[in-house]
Amino acid sequence: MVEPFVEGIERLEREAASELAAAASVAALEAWRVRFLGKNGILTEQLKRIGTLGTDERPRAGQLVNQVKKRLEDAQALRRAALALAEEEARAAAEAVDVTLPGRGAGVAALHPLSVALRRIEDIFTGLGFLLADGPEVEDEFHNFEALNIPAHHPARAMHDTFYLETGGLLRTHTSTVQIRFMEQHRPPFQIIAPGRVYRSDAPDPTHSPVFHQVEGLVVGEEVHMGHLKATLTAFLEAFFGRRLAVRLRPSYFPFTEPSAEVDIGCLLCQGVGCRVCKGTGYVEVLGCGLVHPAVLTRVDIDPERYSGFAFGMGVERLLMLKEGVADVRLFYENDVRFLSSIR
Amino acid sequence: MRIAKGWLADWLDTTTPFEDFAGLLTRGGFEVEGAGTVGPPLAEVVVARIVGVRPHPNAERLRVCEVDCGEAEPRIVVCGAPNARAGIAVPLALPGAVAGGRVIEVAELRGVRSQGMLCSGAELGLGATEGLWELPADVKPGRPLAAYLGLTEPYLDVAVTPNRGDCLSVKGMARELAALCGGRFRPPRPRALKTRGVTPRVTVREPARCPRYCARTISGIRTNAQSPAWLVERLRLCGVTARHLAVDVSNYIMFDLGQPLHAFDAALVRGELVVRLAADGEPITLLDGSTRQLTAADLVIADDEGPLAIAGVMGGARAAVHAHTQSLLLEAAYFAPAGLSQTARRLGLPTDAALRFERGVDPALAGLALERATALIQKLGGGDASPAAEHSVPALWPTLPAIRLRLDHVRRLLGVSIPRAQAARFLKALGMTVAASHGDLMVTPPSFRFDVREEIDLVEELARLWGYDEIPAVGLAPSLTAAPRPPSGLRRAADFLVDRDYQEALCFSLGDPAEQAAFQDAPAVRLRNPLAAPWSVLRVSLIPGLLAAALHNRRRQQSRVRLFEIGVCFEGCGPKDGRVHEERRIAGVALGSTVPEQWGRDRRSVDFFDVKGDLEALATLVGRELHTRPWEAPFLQKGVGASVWVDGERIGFLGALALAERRRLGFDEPVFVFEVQAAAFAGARARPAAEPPRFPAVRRDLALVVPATVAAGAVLETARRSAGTLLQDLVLFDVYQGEGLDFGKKSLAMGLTFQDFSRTLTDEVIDEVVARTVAALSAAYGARLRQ
Repeated sequence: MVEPFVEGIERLEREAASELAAAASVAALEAWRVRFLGKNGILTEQLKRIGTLGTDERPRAGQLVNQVKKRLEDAQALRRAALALAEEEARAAAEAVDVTLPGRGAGVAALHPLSVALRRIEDIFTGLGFLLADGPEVEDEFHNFEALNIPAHHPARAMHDTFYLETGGLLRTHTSTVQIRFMEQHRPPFQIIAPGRVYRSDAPDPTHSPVFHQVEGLVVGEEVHMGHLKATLTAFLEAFFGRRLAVRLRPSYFPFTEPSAEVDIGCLLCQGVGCRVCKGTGYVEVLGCGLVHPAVLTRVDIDPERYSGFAFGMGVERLLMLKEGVADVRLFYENDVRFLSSIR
Repeated sequence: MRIAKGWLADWLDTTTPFEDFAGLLTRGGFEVEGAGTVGPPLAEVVVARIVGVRPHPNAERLRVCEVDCGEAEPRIVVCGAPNARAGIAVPLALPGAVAGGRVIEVAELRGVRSQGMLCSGAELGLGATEGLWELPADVKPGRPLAAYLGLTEPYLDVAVTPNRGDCLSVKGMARELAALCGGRFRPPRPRALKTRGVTPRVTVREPARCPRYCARTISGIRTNAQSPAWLVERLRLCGVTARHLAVDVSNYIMFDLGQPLHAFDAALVRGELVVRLAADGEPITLLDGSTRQLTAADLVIADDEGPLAIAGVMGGARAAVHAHTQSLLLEAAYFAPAGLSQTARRLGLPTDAALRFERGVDPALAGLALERATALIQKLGGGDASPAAEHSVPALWPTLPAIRLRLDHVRRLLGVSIPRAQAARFLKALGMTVAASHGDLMVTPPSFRFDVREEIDLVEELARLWGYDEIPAVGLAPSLTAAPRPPSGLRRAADFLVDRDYQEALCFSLGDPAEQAAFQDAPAVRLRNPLAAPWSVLRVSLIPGLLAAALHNRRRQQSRVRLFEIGVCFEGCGPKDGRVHEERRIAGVALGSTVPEQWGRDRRSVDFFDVKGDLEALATLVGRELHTRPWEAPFLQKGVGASVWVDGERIGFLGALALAERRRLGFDEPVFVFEVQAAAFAGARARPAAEPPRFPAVRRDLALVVPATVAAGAVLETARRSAGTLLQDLVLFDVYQGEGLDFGKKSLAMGLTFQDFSRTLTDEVIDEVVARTVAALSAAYGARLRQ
C-alpha cells in the first residue's frame, strides 16, 4: 500500500519543484505556496491521507511527507529571496538617472570684491588685537584738517582735493578723522582700525576715483615706537597678500605723523626685478604711516611725554588692485556682475 | 624737481656716483619719480665749420657749402639759410640724424648731392633761433653737439614733500645729498659786483607780509643778448621755455638757489615801488593775459599807477620785460607764506614762485640771489647795476627756535639708540647748529628749514639719516582686550543676501539731484564744488545707484539681475544747523526669473512675495518679525508698494518699480526694489532660549471666505490675536478666488497649530478656541467657513 503513496509523494515533489522554478514573480510564488504548502494545499492533503495507511507504514510515510515539505519550504524561501532581489533591481533600474545632468537650484552670488578685501583687512587686524572704530563721512574742518595738524593755509591741504558741502562741512578726505573722533572718547592704551569711505575731487581714471575706501590704523600706548610700526605693518601686509614680502619704509611727509613713512612692498609682478607695474623700481607703494605727531595727541589731551603711538592709512582699492592684478579702479564701481563675482 | 648731474656738481663735491643718488634720495625721503637724459635726442648731430660757400648752380635761394666736420675731406651740404657764410660754426645733422622732424639722408638737391643738413636751433628742438644756429667760433669741428652742449648728462626727477620747500632748488638738493652721502656741500663763492647809479626807491608798507625786499636796476642791457644754450637747456630741464635773458636768468636763479626773483622793465615803472595790500576790487592784468580782481588780503608790488605784480605769485603785464627791454628793475624778496598761499590758492595760480614762497623761502637768501642774478645778467647781456635797495625787518623773519633734543626720547620713539656724537654729526650736516647741554643737545635750525620747529622734527631728521631700514622691527606686546563687538554686525546680513543670490554692488555715494529726488523726498545735500552734475549731491537713497547698476548689467545680456548694497545715505537737516544725518541702509533690486536658467523646473519671474520672503528671512536671522503695509510712492507701481515695519517701527519700503519709471529708465520687465534701515538687522535681539515642548501639537485647518478686498495680513493678525496663547504657529497655505466662490470673495486657507507646554490639549479645548477664532473673523470681516 505504501509504495504507491511514496511514488505519489515523489511525483508531487518533482511537480512542485518544476513549478517553483517557473514562478517568475513574488505573486506567482505566493500562488504556488498556497497550492502546495497552504492549509488546504496538496501536501497537506497528502498528509491527511497517511491515516489510510497501515499503522506500521505511517511513520515512514509521515517522515517522508515532512521531509518533502521541509525541502519545498526551503526552496521556496530561496526562490522568494531571489525574486525580491530581482524585483528591487528592476525597480532601481527604472529609477536610474543621468548623473551627468546639471544640478538644480538657486544661484550663488558673491560679496563685492571690496567687501571681501575689507573683511580680510578687518580680520587680520582683529586677529592682532585691534578694535574696530568708525566715524561720520560728512566731517568738519576741525576733524579732517586742524586736529590732524593741517592748519587752514597749510600747503598739505593742496594734497587733499576736498569736496565741500553747501550746508557747510565737507566729505572726509581720509579716515584719519576717526583717529581724532576715537581719541576724543578714549584714553590709551588702545589699538584700533577704522575702515570707511573717503572722498577726493579727482575725476575718475584708471587710478583715481572720487569715492574710495580707506582703512586707518592707530596704536597709542607707553613705549610704542617705530619698530612696532614696522613689525605690525609687515605682519599685516604678509597676511593680506598671503606671502613673504620685502617691506620697505621710506621717509615721507604727512602733517599728522612724524617721523612719517611711505611703505613699499617688493613688486608682486616682477619680484623686485623691475617692471611696468613698479616703474622699474622693484617696489610698489602700498600705504602711508608714521608716529602720531605730538601736536595731534596734545590736541586730544593725551600727554605725548607719557604716550606715543603710530598711525597708518591704506587705500583698499589700491591694495586689492595689486593683489588681484586689477588695472582700472573704475571697475569696482561699474558693478558689472561678471567682474564682481570673479573675486571671492 | 629735476636735478641733473652736471648742475648738481656746481654745488656738491662727492665721490658717490650719480647712479647711487636715486637710492640715497629715496631712503632719505625724496621719492625718485623718474630719470632720463637731458635734452632732445641728438644722435649723429655734430659741430661743423663752414669753410666755403658758393651759389647753387640751379637754384637762386640755395647755396652749396663746404663744411669741415672733423673728417679728412670737407662735406658738401646744400643750405637755404640766409646766414650761411664761411667761418661760422653750426650744427650739422649727418645722414641718420633726426632734424626738423625727419631722418636726414644723402640727397640730390636740384642736381647737387647734399651730405647732411645744417640746422637751426628749432630744427633740433633746442630753442627758436632763426636761420642757422651760430655756435661760438672756437668749437672743435666733429664734436657731437650733445656732448658740446652738455646734453648727455643724466637727471633724476625727484618729488619734494610740502614740508621741504628748501629742497625746491639744486642748491637745496645738493645740501641734502651731501648729508645723505657724506659728500661736501660747496656753494660757489659770490663775486663782488661793481655798482653805479641810483638806488631804486622802494617803500614796504606791509613788513609783516614782506619782511625783506631787495631790488636794483640794471640799465643798458644789450637788446640782442640771448640766453646761451646751457642756460636754455637747464631751464628746459625745469620745464620752462627760454624767452628773454632777464626772465631766463631770474628763473634760473630760482631753480638754482630756490629764491624766486622778478624782473620789471624799469622804463615802464612810474615812480617808486610800493609793497602794499591791494584795494578791494582793484584789477590787475597778469603776464598770462588774464585780468584778476584783487582783495585787501592780497599783497601787491605797485607803482604810482597801480599794481605791477601780485607779490610772489605772478607779474603783471604793464611793466613786463619784453624783447626791447634795456633796463630792468630786479626784485628778490621774502614774502610770508600764510597770506601769499591764500592769494595764490584763491586766484588759482600755483606758480613756481608761489609754490616756493608758500613752503618757505630762506629770508637770508634774497640778497645773495639778487647778486647772483645781477652778475649773470651782466655777464650775458652787459649793463650797469645800481646799488641794491634793501628793506629788511629781521624781527619779522621767522624765529629760529633753540630745540632741546633728548636722546633717550629719540630711543623711546625710534626704538634705536643713536650715539650723541653721531646725532650731532647728522644734524650739523643738515646745516643745524648743535651744542651740548646737560646731556642733551641744543639744536638751532638754519633759516631755510621752516619745517624744523620742535624736538619731534629733529627725531625725524635723525631717523632719516640713521636710515629707516636700520630700525629693527619689534612685535607689539599682545593686547588682552577682547573686542566688544563682532567685526561688523551686518556681515551676517550681507552673507545671507549673497546666499539668497543677491550680488553685492557698491555705488558712488555721490548722485544726480533729479535721480535722487525721484526716489526720496528728503532734501539732498549739495556739493559746493562737484566734479560733474551726476555727482553733485550726496545720495539720499541707494536705489538710483542700484538701478543704474542693474541697467548696466541688463544691457549686457544679463536677463536676471539681483543686486544689493549696504551703504550710507545722507539727509540734510535743514540749512539752520547744517548737520547731515547719516544712515546706513540695505537696499536691493531684483528682476528676471527667481532662479537661474535650468532644466526640468518651471521658471517664473520674481514677484513681490519672493522679495518680501527674503526680507522676512533677513529679519528672522536677528530674531525680529517684519510686516508690510500698503504704501504708495510715485516711483512704485500702485498696489504693489509697501512700507516695511519691524518692531512697530517703519524701516523702509518694498515694491515694484512704477511702469513710468521702468519706461523712463529702460527696463522692459518688472523690477522689484527695497530699501530698509540697516540698524534693524545689525545684531540679533537677545531672547531667552526656548525649550522644545514635550506635549504633542494639534493642527486644525480652516478655509475662510472673506471679501476679496480684505487684507490677508489683517485676517491673520485677528486670527492670531483671538486664538490666544495656545496658538503656536499660523500658516497661510492657500489663497483662492474664482469658480465655486461668489464674485468678490476669496478663500484663505490657513493651518493653525496649537500646543500647550504643560498638558496634552483635548478636542474640547481646541474646538472652543477655533470657534472663538472663527467668530472673531466673522464679526470683523464677515468671514464664513468655506463648505
